[in-house]
Amino acid sequence: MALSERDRRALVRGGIALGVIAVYFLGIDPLLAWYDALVSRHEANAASVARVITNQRKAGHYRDQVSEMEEEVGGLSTPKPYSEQITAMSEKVITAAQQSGLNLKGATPTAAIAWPEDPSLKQASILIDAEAGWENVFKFIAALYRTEGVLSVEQIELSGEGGKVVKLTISVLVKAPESSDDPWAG
Amino acid sequence: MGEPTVIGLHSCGSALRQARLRRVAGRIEILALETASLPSGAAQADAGGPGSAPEGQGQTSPGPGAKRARGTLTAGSAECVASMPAPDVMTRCWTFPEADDARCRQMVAHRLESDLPVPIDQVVWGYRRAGPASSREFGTWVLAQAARNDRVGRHMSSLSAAGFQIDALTTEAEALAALCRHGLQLGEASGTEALILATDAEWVIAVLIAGVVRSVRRVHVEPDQLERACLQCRQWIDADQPVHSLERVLWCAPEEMADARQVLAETMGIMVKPVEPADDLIEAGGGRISTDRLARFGPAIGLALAGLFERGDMIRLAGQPEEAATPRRQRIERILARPWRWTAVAGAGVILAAVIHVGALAWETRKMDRLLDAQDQARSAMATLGPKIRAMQQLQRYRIDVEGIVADLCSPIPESMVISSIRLSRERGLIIKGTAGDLKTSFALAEALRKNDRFAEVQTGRTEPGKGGGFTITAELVGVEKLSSFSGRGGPWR
Repeated sequence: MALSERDRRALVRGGIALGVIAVYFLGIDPLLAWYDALVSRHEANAASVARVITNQRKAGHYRDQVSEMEEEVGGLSTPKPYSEQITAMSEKVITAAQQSGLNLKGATPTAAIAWPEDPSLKQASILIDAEAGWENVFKFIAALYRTEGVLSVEQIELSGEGGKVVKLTISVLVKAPESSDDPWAG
Repeated sequence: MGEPTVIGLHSCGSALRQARLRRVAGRIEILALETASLPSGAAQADAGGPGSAPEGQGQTSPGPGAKRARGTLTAGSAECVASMPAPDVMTRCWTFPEADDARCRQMVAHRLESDLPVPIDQVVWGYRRAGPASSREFGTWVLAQAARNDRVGRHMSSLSAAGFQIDALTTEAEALAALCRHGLQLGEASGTEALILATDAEWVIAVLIAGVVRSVRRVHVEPDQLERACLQCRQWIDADQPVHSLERVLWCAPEEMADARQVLAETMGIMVKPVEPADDLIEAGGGRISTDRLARFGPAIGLALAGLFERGDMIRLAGQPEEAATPRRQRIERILARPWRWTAVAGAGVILAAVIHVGALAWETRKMDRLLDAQDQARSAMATLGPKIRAMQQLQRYRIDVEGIVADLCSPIPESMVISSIRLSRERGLIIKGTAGDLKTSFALAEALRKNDRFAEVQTGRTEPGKGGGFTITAELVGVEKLSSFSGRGGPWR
């Protein structure tokens, strides 16, 4: 069967249109999708790398600060469980008192209470009663502040002429017990 | 910018053959091919030399099928390139050493002066560098052509009388050379060859060496005396270059003249090869030009081709002074002459840029992947630093500088004052109790504490008024972070 010129032209045009559609769906569309994925991945990686670089700088800054602080306060460590921390602290308080010339009358730990910033931590206190001159009191406080685990002096009362009687409360952060360890937990 | 259009005007006796060509998208389009007759006076004045064979048997009035030249192809801003009849032009070829244009022109003038039978000031002349000399010689091969002033003037007048303003008057040799270079499929031309444009009445014969036309001649042909015409053709070629040195004879003629080609081949003793028009030389309708029209209008087409492609190089004997195109303009014109090529280059550049862009993206992504993998290992090392940072921040935020506070407190205490107790607490601030002989000193101390940045809300009061100068000072501690949940010893500390 002979095709007329018009039929041949229509066939050619139809073939070209089909070819264009096929090229689009088989070539261009997957290529664009691949390119979009590549651009998205590149952007995500670029953001991650920027974050990593910022963190690296921040980490370097913190590392310097931590080492400076450790030189100043003796050591920075993760809070330990209550019993372990209080035992260690009591020994350190006694040692510091002896080294500072403080006449230690008593060092009484209190129960741990919640630490508002972090539920995994609790705050315990040690109440110290002693007698000493003011100079020795400040030596003692300086020694406490170089003791690992001591957060701060929470209260201090100096009474008597020349600072004879000292009442001191120091705070210590301890690790909060796991929920299963809590005897009051349901 | 419009495509340049050039009219080639080839006068042959009283006939003026005209070809109007333009360049379109890298092809050469023949807009019109016409034959007109020169005005009678002009044709008589321009009647050729001994070798010329005027078309129409010497008639000077227009033939029945011919048009008057005036007003046919002169419209528009097309450039007109015409040729001097070959018998009026003297052609020489020399080998010169390499030299700049000024020096080369000087050398040509000297040689012409010695070669010409007339004083050089009676001729107009031009030259072109035809390429490097043969391998046995050094330097440049130079083609020089000259014509007498009066002949040139007469020819220009005749064309002017026909209504044409000629931009460039060159030679038939230049026309046929341009036709060979741009209008015919000849292949590589290196040796000696002859080109014959044959019509039923006249043959135009050109001898070429390495693509340069050395001589042009016309042979009048009687239909029943083909052998005589072929013999004339052979003798004439032999007079210029030995026939045995010819590499080929190129034949451009209507198909019905195949017998003539056969006879010529037998006479010359060499193969006569038919030539075809170049593929990019097309008629206005898009078809190829017939060999009949090509043979008849070949020199006119060649002139138009020379105007299109070799404006700056062709030998100019007269015409409008050539506009000196700056090198920058020439470069731009060269670029614009091939728009498709540059479009293709731009397209290739875009594709290359896209490939480089995608390649760079992929490479960067891979590199960042590797960097992030390495960072995962470094992150675990950083994790150990986290608790220490938190501990440090807690100390910075919550540790009370007891020594500093007490030092700031003690410095303004006067000698006369006795401090019985100092109480410092995160939650309750500062409480000082003591006695002073003069109560003003307690106010002075309170005032001094107010001025210190560490203390705020400083209050002073008397205690035990009956017992003398007892006082109490209370103050808030500035910069000490309070803990709402902190309960101290479990109750108010007294």
